[in-house]
Amino acid sequence: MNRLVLCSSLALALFTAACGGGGNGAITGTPAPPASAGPYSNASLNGTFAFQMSGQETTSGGFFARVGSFAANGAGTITGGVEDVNSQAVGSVILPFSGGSYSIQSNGQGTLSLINQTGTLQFSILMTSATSGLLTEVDGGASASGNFTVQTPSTFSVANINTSYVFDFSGVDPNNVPESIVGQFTGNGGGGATGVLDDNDGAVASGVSAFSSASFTMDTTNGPSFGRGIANIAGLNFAFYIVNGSKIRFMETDFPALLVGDATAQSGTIPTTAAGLSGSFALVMSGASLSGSDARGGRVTLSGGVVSNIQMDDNASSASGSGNSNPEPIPSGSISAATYTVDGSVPGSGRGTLTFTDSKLGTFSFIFYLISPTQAVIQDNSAGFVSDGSMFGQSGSPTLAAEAGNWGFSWAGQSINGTTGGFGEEDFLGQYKLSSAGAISGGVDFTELSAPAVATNIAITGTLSIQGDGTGRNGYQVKLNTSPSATLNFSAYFVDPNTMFVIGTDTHRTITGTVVRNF
Amino acid sequence: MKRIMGVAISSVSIGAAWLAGVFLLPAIASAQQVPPSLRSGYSPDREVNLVGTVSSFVSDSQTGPLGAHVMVQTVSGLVDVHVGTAEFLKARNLTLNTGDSVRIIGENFTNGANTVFLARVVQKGTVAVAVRSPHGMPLWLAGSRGLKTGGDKGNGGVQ
Repeated sequence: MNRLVLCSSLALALFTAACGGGGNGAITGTPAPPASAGPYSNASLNGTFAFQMSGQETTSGGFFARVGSFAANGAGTITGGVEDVNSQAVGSVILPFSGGSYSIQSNGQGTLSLINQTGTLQFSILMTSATSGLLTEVDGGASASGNFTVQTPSTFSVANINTSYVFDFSGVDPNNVPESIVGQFTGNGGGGATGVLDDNDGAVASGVSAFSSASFTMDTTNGPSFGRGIANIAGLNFAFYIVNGSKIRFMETDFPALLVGDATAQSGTIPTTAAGLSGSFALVMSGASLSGSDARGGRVTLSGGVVSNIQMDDNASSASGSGNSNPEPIPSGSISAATYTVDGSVPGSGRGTLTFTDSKLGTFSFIFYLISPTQAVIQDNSAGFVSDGSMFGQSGSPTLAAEAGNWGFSWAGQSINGTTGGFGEEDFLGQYKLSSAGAISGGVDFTELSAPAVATNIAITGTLSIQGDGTGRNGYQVKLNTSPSATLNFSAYFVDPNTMFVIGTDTHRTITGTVVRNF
Repeated sequence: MKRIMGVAISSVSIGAAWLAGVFLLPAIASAQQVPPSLRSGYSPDREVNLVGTVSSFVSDSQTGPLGAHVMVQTVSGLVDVHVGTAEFLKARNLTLNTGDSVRIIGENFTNGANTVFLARVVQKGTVAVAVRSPHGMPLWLAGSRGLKTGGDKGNGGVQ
C-alpha cells in the first residue's frame, strides 16, 4: 500500500454503501496514518513463495481458488512463477507468470502484482514474519484472500513426501454444495501414500474412511523451480506445491468441484488416547449452515476425555436485521455430554472427536486430526453444518500491556448490503498499532462484493478489551473510517500472546479472522 | 466418499414431488406442532410442498435467517420463506413479485421466536431454482467455503 496515496477507492460496477449496509455512495474515507517503522523492506521478499487464496469472483459470483508460486528477487521485481486456478470463469487452468512487481513498507504492508496471460493481478500483502505473509486481491476481479510462505527448493521432490501429513481441504463438490475433507496420509517417498479421511459433503458425513492409493507426481516443467506437482487423493485430482519438508499446498482440479487447503506434516508425539491429549485450545471455523454462511470459534479445555471451560461464539446467519449482538454465545444453556476421544481404531492418525450438548442450542460435534499435540485441523459435523478450521493449544496469559505493539490481520466472510440486498464475500487485510491501553490505530485494504467496492488505505481505529485472564472471550471492535463509517464487532480468543482468532458478532455479516503480531 | 456416491441436486424431480400428492400442508399445519430448530439439520423426509401467492418479497429481511425472504399466502395462512439471496435467484432468471404464483419445496423450522420455511427449490411458472442441496445446504453462498480467513486458510497466519 502506498501511504503517499491519501486514499484510493476503486468502485466496481455499482457504487453503494460499504460494510453491512447503510447509505449509498462510493467508498471513501480517512487515509490511514503513517506506517510505524518496522523491520520489513523489499528485501523481505527474496526467493520463491508458495501462495494460496480463495474467494468469490466478481463476475461469475462463483467460488474460486488459486494456488501457485512466485519468485521475488528482493528488489521489487517478480521474476517468474506459475499458478493453478479453478474458477467458474475459466475452469481449472495452469497459468505461468511472466513477471510482476512488489513493494513492501517497513511495517510489512505492501503491494504485489503478478502478470499472466489474462492480465495483471493486483494484491495487497502484509508480511507477518520474515518468511511468510498474508494477501488479498484488490483488482476488483474477486474478493479473495490467503497467504504465502517461502519455499525450500531442495525439497521439491516426491522423495520428500515421505512422512505423515494432516490435511484440511474445503470448498464445493461438483454440484456447488459446500464440502469439507479432513484427514491424514502417509507418503512413502516414492510417489505413493495411504491414509484416512472424513468427508462432510453437504452436511452428509462419511465417517472415517480409509484410502489406499494416493499418488504424487512432480511437474517436469514447473516442479524443479516452483515445486509444482499433481496428485490423486482418494480419487480426487489436485495440483500441489511443495512449500518445504513439512507443508504442501493443494487445490482440486476436478472443475467444477473445487477443494483447496494445506497438508502439514505431523510432528511431536501424536496422542493415541484421550488421556494423552490435554490443555486449553482456541478454535476457529467457518463454512455453511442451513441459514447461510457460518462462523464459529472459541475456547475449550480438554482433560481426561472431558471437555470443559467451553466459551464460544456462533454466527450461523440465523439472525438478521440491524444490530451487533451475536444471538448465540455458547454456552447459552447448560452444557452436558461434553467429551472428546482420540480414535483408537486408526491409531497414530491423530483423529479424534469432540462433542457437547448445549441445552438451548443442541449438540455440537466435531472431528479433528492432530498435527501435533497442540495443533489440529477441525471439521464441524454438527447437524446442518459444513465447516472447518483450526484448533491450537493456548499458551500465555495476555494482558493489554503485553499485547501492545504492531499487529496484522486478515478477516474474511460474507455480508449483505442493507440498502440493496447485495450479498457477497468480503476480505480485509490490515495492520495497526495497539497501545497498552487497548487502542487500535492503523489502516486496512478491503474488497466487499456486497457494495461492491475495493477500498485501500482506509484508516481504522478501535479497541481490544481483555476480559479476565484473557484466555476466553475478549472484546474486539474495529471502526473503518469510511464515509459513512462502519464498525465491526468481534469476539477475540487468544491462541498465544502473538495470535488471536476473531469471530464476528454483527448480524449483517458472518466473518472470521486471524490477528497476528507482525513485529 | 460421499462425492463418489453422488447425490446430485438435479436428481430430485420437482414434478415427481408434486405428483407425490403432498400439496401444501406445510407451514401452518406443521407449525401447530413445534417445528424443529435450525440446528436440528435438514431432513429430506420432512420436506413438503408449499403452494401459494407471493404477498411480499424482501431482499434483506429484518428477520432471520440473513438474506431474502418471501411471504407466501397459502390456503392455510401466510408463510415466511427464506429463499437465499435475491442475486442468486435473479442470476437464474427468477424474480419474485407480489401476486406471483409459486411452488416451493422445503421445510419448516423454528428460528428463535419465529417460524421460517427454508426453501430448497423455488418454482415460478416453468422456472425452478434449487437454492439448497438435498440436505439443506445453501447453494447461493459461492465463496462461503472461502470463508476460511486469510489467516486460517492453510493455517498460514499461524506459522
